[in-house]
Amino acid sequence: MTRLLVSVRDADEALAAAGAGADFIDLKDPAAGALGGLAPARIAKIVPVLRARCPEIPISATVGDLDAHERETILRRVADVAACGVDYVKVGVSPCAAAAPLLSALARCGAPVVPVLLADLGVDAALVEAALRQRAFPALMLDTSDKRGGSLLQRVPVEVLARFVALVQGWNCLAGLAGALRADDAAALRKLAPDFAGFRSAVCEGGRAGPLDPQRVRGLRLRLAMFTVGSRPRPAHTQSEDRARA
Amino acid sequence: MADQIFETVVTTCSAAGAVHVAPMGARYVGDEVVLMPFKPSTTLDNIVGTGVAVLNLLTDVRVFAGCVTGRREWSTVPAGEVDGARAVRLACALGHAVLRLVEQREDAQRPVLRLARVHEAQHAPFRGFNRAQAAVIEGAVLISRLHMLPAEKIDGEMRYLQIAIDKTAGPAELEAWEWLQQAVARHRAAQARVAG
Repeated sequence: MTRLLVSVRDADEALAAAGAGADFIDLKDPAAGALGGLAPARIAKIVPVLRARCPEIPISATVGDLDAHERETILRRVADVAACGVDYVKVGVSPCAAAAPLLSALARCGAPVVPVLLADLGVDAALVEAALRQRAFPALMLDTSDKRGGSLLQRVPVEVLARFVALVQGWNCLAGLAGALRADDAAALRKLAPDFAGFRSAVCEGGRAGPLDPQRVRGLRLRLAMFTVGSRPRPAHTQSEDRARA
Repeated sequence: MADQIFETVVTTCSAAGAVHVAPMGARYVGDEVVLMPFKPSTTLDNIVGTGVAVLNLLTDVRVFAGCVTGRREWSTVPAGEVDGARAVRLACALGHAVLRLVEQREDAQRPVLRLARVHEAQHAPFRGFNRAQAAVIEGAVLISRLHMLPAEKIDGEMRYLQIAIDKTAGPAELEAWEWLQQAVARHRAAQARVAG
């Protein structure tokens, strides 16, 4: 079953998303770009609020949109964000000559880094392999940097995504998909079965910079979990949703 | 023989006055304190930027467990100034030492900082070793390496540390231990591949 990662920009949105059934909370500033980072001081304020109310929910945070050539800046931001006590630090990596050296530096930095490979121009299979060979990352994600170009599923052929998921999972690493994903993508995502799928615009009112709508998080959670034959019992919150609909 | 390292919490301030709290291993060389903060890190920036750090000795292990699980807000109190730079200590410190940077040896990953003691004060007595406190420190180190360690190792070590918690923990140690256990549970939940 694909779990739901929801990107939020503040503590209120984080609590609302967690309460509505998000499996992972991702801290980012959607107004500051595709992987826009919140200032570490803000992350450090949100994390304890979420830990106090929802201690069971894993939290990730992004370091911001940085060019792969700015390796020192990226490593510093990773250290700053990791020091906020989040469970995972997401780092965007666009395919370029600096990408592979950046991945090996991230693998050695000691922080729980999740590389997010930007797939606007397709999936660089060699880069995916290079990341997996490090054996240092708890998960690997695909995302898009230009959200206006449509959802990841419209941008990248489904068989390419399927190969990515299979390859990542084959290395016993978690596979995540994101990139302007829509509620209508849920059926295709269920088939692709990544370990988690990341959403922002689809759970907001009026686009990714708008306010988070918990009702949409609930709906998405249901659609991602639907029709899974032989699956384990669903978490309590979705079961109550089912009853409410019945 | 390996260097003897003491688990402390170092408090520093940025040039703008923002307080930073970080658990850190300290070596004592003569009267001096040697710190090796990772590069890059806020602690390193602050010490190099202001020339000042405060070494806190404490038995409230919630600070150690809190800093690795997203609880960084610990109350501090002023501890004077060194050459115009502000120093603060943890309110819960049993004792603290205000330090001034005397030498910085460059290293790509961990620069070596030699610091001299400018001022020291004791605030509460050390009441002896508590095994649960030691277990929390070990657990905090383990949690900071969760993503690098196999599940069996984490489980085995946590099970062993649990013995000291069960036998000797007070309320603060139990709270800190709970934070660490939650971190393990989150890691487990995130890493599990959900069937279906």
